[in-house]
Amino acid sequence: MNPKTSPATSRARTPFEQSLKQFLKNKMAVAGLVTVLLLFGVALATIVVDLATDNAFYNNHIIEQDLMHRLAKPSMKHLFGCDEFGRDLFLRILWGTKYSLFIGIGAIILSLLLGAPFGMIAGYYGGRIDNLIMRFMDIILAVPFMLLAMAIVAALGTSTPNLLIALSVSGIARFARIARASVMTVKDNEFVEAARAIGAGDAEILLKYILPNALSPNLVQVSLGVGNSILMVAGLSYLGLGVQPPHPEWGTILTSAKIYMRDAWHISVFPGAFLVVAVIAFNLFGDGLRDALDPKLKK
Amino acid sequence: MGNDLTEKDGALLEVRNLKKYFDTPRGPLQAVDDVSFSIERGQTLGIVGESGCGKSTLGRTILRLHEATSGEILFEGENILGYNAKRLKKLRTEMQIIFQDPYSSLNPRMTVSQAIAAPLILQGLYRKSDRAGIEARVGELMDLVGLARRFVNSYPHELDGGRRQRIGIARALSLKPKFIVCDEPVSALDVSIQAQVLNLMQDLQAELGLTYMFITHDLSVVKHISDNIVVMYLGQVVERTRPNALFEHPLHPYTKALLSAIPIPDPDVKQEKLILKGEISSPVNMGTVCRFVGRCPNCTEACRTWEYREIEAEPGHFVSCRLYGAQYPDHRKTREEFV
Amino acid sequence: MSHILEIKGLRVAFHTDDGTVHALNGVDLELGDGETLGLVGETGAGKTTLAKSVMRLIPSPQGVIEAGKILFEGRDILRINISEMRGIRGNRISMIFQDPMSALNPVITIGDQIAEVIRVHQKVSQKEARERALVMLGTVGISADRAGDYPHQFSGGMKQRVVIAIALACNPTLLIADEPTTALDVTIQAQVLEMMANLKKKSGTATILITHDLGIVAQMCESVAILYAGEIVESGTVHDIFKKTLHPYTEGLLAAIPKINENVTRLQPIDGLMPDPTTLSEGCAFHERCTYATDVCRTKRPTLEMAGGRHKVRCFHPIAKGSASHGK
Repeated sequence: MNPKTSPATSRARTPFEQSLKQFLKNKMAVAGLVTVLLLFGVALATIVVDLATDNAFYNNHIIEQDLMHRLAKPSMKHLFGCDEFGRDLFLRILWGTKYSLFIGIGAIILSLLLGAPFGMIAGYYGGRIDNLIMRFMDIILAVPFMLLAMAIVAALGTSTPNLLIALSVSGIARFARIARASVMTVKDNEFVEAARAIGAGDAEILLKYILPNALSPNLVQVSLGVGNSILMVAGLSYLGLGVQPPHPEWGTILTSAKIYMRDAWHISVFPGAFLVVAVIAFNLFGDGLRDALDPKLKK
Repeated sequence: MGNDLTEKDGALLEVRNLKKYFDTPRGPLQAVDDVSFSIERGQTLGIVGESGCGKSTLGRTILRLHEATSGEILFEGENILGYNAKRLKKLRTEMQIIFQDPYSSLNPRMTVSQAIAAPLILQGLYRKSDRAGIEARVGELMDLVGLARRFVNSYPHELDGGRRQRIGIARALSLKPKFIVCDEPVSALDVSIQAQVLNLMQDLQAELGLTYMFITHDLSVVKHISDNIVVMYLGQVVERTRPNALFEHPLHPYTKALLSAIPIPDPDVKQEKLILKGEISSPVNMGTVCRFVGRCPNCTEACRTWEYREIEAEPGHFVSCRLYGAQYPDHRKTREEFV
Repeated sequence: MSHILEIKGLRVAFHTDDGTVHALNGVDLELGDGETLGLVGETGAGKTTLAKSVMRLIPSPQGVIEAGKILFEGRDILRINISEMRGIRGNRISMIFQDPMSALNPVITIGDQIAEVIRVHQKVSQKEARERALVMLGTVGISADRAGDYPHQFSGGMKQRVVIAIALACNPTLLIADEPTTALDVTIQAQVLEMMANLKKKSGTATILITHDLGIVAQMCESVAILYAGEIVESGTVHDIFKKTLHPYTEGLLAAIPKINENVTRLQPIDGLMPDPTTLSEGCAFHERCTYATDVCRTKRPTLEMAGGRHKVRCFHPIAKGSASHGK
């Protein structure tokens, strides 16, 4: 209501800088961010190697079978051991990072780009348009996330684009909801009326006045949703509907792992651990982002 | 504001039978109900009332930020309710608004300079690329409202209420409007800053020939700044006249209660308090009768069916109260019968 | 006159990332038994911090009471332990906050909210507490059949009455009212103030009425203290402050308000702003805005001095009686 603002001091200047400061104070969030960046680093490194060696390394070490070392336990030579085809698990897991990360993030971004505009329009105009759009979104939400994704993949096939579509459909409805809510909160501020009073049209108001101020909840949802998305990719792959073997997506590795769980614990534990770490890292980052952007916590 | 003069000379703004109703599940919310008045060029009309009286809705409807339900709004003789989008955009360069809340009326992501320049760019007065031109004009406006130039790249959250309000004023002035609706522009400010901003607004009016519609709940603020005052209650105009007449002998029972409710900053003056019973309700589904019925200390049974209208009880002093009805030609005499 | 509350040399600071905010810089205040003191100040002066200090509701660890004493009925309540303080809050010292909308719990009926404070402090049965709560409702002018209603079903003025009922339920010796009517409409404010005046007559509760509205102070208070930048700059009876004004800030405030009973064409503002509470300057806190300031004002801090009777002022050049008004 009446924040005690000290007269014209420039401590943290732009709203962005303020949020950054707030974020950096949160140790867990920073740890999450660092982990996420590491994962990105790994993924990028593997892509670079593949490009540089023209997939030679990939074929030799990831795909090529070596039945001599079948189900080998972790050792100095094979850090995480070998899988049922004798392939080095450590390298396989590293090479699997890019699938989880990019498909996971890609699906969320797609949901955002498709869902948020609908939500913004629904929130801004209200009335019948709002009803129409949101009831449509309700229909999407009524179908369980996983089943919907499975159905789409089953119908369209297991290529990467199809996987992205399957994973993003449910997300569209969630982002529409959040975008709508955040637009509705910002819409009632007087500065929006002020924009209208100086002659701004709807498009200008939505893009320059509402969007920048309604961004935060959407960003938070992105970072929190990535964790879930990664699990979804792994889940579909585990069921055989996602990334197909021999490609080393973490979920795909886990499919075969279950058969050998008794003799070769390492095939389930390590990919699983990476999944857990990745999801937790994104969640911590998302939590930190939300706390940093939440105006109520700003002092 | 005698009626005899305004029709001819062309008041800058004339409002006729203006209504703004909102649809609610309980019935129509009659926020502004059959309001009429006019404002001469260069003058200030004070609109006074408490919550739910419709004063803010009135201001916004006049600016077409809300769409009127019926009635006419004549700006320089033309009914602006008929304007299409293009014409309306042009109108924005002539009619502007200053908001109450210095915290929510500025886009938190725009600097002072961006906020003040926005109208200039939107209306095509300056191109976005014309940085020098924009900078010069923004600087000019900041000087005009007494905002130190060093704040030109500051964000609203770095400044106090008084300075933020000056940004709002600069923004409103940037298009060189003739008429400005001031919606409680000083209510959210500290006392010493209020005085600064009020003086500024008076100076600007004199310097730029502005016409103000000054909306407030604070009668003491409106007294020295207005040429005429309109008192509203639950969407209806209950009294309108010049400030001296209003303060020296208020006619409407609500106006009297309102005046007596203001605590006077002098311990030696013991105030005669007219404490009203009951609460301020909401003007939902109220029809066309007096809305002060039930709380009015002078209310009679006949008031509940009296058809609401305005009566010129004294020259230039209008009141909407049955006690001053045409059947009582000398209202002063008969008022004593009821009081 | 016995003093129900005495504050001596109170210093409170808040440690934030942007620096240390010196909210209160040595506040001295007295309140007599059954007296109503108007505490006047603008945004940032420290009024709410002062009120919360008396209640020991300053958030820690950011907020620190650095020095001073608060003597309530002779005891320094800054030194007692927390559970004793809890026994005092709501019971011997009550507080009314500014915004009635957020002061009430939205999911509990108002009857229960009043009964709760009675039950906690007066150790009576639920039934007995409920009965007393109904009596309180009557005292504040709300009919008993509304006891089962929830806060959202009441208007602003009525919510504030409920808040007052909760505050007075245990018949406290001291009531701190922080801008109790600022959020209300003028005619509703008049109702609520009238009710508070009547209640005070009946119960004799000493009150600190925090407000920026000098009109309310003139009509409701016996004594006044003017707070500026964390210090009391002038205090005394209401007559002293309004009729024998000594401090330039007080004079400035009185000149800056539009008065309904006077004909004024132009207001007299006070130039400038309250100083930044994160940087304590040397010299008088008001010197930058003061038209009477001289060299000594810029370098030394004035102390609160007696000026006759209960009148005190913190200034090197208090305004002489009958001197010219706030000059240019």
